[in-house]
Amino acid sequence: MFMQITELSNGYSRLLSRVDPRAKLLAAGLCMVCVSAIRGFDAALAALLFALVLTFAAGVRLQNAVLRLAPANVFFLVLGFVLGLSYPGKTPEGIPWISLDGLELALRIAVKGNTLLLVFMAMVCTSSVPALSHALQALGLPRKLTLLLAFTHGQVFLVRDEFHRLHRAALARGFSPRCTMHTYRTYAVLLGQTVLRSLSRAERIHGAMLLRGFTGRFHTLASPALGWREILLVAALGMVPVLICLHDRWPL
Amino acid sequence: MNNEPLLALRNARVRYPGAFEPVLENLDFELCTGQRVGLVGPNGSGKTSLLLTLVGLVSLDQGELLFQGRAVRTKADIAALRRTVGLVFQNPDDQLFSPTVLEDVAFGPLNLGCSQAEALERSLVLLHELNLAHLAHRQPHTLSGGQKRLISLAVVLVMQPSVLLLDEPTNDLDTRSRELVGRILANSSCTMVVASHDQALLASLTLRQFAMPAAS
Repeated sequence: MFMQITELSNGYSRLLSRVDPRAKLLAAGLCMVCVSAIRGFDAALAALLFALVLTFAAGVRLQNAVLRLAPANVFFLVLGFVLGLSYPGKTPEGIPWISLDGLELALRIAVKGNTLLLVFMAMVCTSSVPALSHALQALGLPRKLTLLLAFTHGQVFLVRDEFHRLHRAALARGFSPRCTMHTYRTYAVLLGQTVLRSLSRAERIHGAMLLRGFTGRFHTLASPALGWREILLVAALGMVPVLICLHDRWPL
Repeated sequence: MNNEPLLALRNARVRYPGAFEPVLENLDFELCTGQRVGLVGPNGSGKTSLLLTLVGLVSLDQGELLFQGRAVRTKADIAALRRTVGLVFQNPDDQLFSPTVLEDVAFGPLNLGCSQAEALERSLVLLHELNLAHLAHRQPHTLSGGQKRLISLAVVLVMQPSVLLLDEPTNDLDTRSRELVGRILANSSCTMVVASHDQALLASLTLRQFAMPAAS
């Protein structure tokens, strides 16, 4: 699901929300590479602390952050069980079937995973999808790909509304979902109708584009060049994980 | 007023793929510069199909479409036609597709070859004129029905068409939005074809009305 600043921010602190998305994407990319390269547990914890600070600076609601981290942490929990029982290595006294190395590895993966997700939430999800699409284009991604992202974002909501309308119409006529063949068939029909309507909408939208001179080439409004403020911010935000990573690999 | 038809259909027949009956048959239609005509008729009588045919989005089975006295046959003819004739769709969701309102409004001018600065200025000026500037950076799917309708009008007006084809422009609008759309259209200098069930709008905008026959 696409996340936007309106959904994630608490309205009090929007320091990162005002920053150019290109700068945030660059800094996030750098952070993610560095965090992925970290091996030590202490360094992973330091990176997690940095990610928490970023999340706070971005004004991400705690409730939203927890909700979005929950599914990933369920996975990390399962990973802990699997690695704790199957990974070779040291075992605690009296419990030979548990691997301490496995548990440590799982914990490190969980800390790094949460760090990456928090960085993503703080740096990427605090921009709207159209802004991100522009930023990706300005950073050199193919124009068709970025426009596809932006257009899809707009159309996804129309398709969702279309499905909800059909679903409501079915409910209003006494349809109540159960584990029956009739229910499955009804949902199949609703989904099929949604796809058909989306296809015919796509044709009409293509017609509207043709009427406005579209010849297969997308022209977009330019974004201003990155300013010194943004470049400094990328450098400052990128420096912290780079230093953590360097210290982890080559401790003083 | 020039009496040479700007846009005309001669003996037109339109049948959609897979359909048994043609939706338009033996239809002659003429629109001269400066004219404002209304299209009335029951649902399914072919009002939308006629408008789509007039901009070349639906092809003719038989007959011909004339623009400025010349038959529209090649891609270049169609491109020239669409530079002059703008169509406002019945459903604004079919017309708005860009990530933001401003980009949607600028889409047409950019395709017409305007520079980015020019397209941006043209779009902003028009949005200001229509009192829609506050919506410039909104995403189209987040707008209300009335706002979408006004923006779908803006995306066509920004291309400065000479002819405006409007398919149910006041559909689903409240009284205030309906008056606003009526005022914008009344102030426009475009030649116009308005397909609508809104008799008050037709009476205020048009002098002649064509009645489409009911579908058989």
